[in-house]
Amino acid sequence: MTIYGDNNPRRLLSVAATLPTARARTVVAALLARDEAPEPTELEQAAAAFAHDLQPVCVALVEALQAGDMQALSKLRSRLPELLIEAARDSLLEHVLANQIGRHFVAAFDETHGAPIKSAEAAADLTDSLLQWRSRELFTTAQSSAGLRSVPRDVRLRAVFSARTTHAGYISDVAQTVDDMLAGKINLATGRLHLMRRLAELGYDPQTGFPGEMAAIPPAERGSIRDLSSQTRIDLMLTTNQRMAANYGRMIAGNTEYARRYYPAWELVRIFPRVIERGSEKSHTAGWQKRWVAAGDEVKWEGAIAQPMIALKDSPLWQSLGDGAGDYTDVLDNPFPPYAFGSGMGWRAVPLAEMKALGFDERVPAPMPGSLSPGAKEVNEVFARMPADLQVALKKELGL
Amino acid sequence: MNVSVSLGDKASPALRRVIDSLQGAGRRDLLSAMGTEVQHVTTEHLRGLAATRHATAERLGAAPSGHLAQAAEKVAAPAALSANETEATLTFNHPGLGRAFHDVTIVPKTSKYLTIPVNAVAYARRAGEFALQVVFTRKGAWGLVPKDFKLPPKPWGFAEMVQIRSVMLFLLVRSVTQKQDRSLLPSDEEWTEAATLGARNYIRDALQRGGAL
Repeated sequence: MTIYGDNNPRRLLSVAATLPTARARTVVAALLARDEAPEPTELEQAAAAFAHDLQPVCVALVEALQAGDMQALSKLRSRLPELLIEAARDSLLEHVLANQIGRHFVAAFDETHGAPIKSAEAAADLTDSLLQWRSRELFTTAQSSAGLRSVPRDVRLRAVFSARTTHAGYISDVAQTVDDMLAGKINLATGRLHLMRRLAELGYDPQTGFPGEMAAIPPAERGSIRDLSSQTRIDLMLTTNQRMAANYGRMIAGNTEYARRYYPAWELVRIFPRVIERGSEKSHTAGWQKRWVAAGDEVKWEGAIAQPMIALKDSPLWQSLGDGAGDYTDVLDNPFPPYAFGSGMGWRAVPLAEMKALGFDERVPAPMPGSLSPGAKEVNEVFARMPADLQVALKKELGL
Repeated sequence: MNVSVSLGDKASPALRRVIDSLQGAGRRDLLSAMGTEVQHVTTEHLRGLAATRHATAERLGAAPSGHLAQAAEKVAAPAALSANETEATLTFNHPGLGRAFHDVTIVPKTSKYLTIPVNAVAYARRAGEFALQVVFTRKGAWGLVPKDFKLPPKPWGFAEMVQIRSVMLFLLVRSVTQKQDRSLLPSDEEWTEAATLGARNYIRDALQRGGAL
């Protein structure tokens, strides 16, 4: 059977592009790129590898692909955005990562579905490049934490990510664990235990990684921060993702007209106690006051004061702090807490009366920037980093 | 666990008349403003407690788990507050806050015993993270000690019991009852005051906009 027979290859590609996990996209796109029907065992293996909650969709997808059933594919395609929206609404996490930006292109692909792709080889090239591009945006990554910063911020907001973690199934477990923590179903200790057991089931070893792992990831010392199964690592990963999601939500909630009028500013305060705080003598690091001053200097203290660490919600200081003003590299690039890995600092909403007492004018600040949809700038940034061949192909496809 | 902010008897007659004149979205926005203030005062209350209450961690010499700080973050989360035309609801989606209203008895869900950390290493961790063995006495299961710890031969006297206790990570108990602690959350008066502040702010804004209530 020829997949690229009477079927519409672009539609097939768009279906593959919207699949919510890296593994799913890779497998399905690889199947699409071939000019022959996949073996049943391949499909079974592919389906088994997908995240459990999306498995029925993926199974239906590969079955439809195998049968060349365009009606079923179309129906499935129409359901996928709902799943993505649901995932975004529920947790901001996992599935939405590449798809938010991907959907821009997918929509464009759909609009141009009438134009035929010249050959299966061209489709395969495009698919490979597309996957190359996506692989830099996915949740599984062999990059270090510093490397992760190269991923667009707005994309990372929606991602459960963990440096040097390449196992899609495990990342899916992390996402579910964070979801459960956010929902109050489990606490950190239970989440940690669950992930430790999951890593053991998957055969993870800090020295050798996951069995059959393709990416070249340096061995990790057992118990170190690079050891995925260490308490330090799991705690850092869970709490960072949990706090990012919680504070993103808090930022959005703080954007209501009432909240901006009566709580026009945030104060950076210690929320979680630390045995050794940043800036303390034992830490050998700069404290938050120093970082705050660096961020304030960078934005000329627009809407902010040095002491206490208070800034209006629309002050550019928040993004500057998140970007690591003062050459700090342990940051997460977000305008909301946590502003650095392992940080216990967070926001206190500052009432209007307190702001007046501090000498601020009574002004309703603009909403803090935060969106679940990537802006044109970010789409352009992603586009600029694509391989040249994909840029050409996409421009052609998009009629640009 | 929910705390509802509704338009009860405590509103003054004038405020009551204003509130009664509100319909639909305006009424919901009013309740949302009241709920926002209740959410704020509750968050700040929990943060204040989080900064001072580390009794268990201090007793064990462990780092604080941030339990109350987490509770504060959850209460501050947007999903914690909802409002409709009849009430605003603040949901406390965090274990342990139920103690503010009643005694809480915790029993194991999936095993026979609860594990109570009695060592800094075990604090804020689950027994499953360690390789452990159960220590039995004549009264039954006593606690969990590291698997590689060589238990002294029985019968155990006081010295042996102290030795075992010194390496024990978790005590095993059938249940734990925590007494009610109303101070975990703001008082009813503080909540009422916060809700009133929200109503006042909303109505003042509406009047300043020149809009009829």
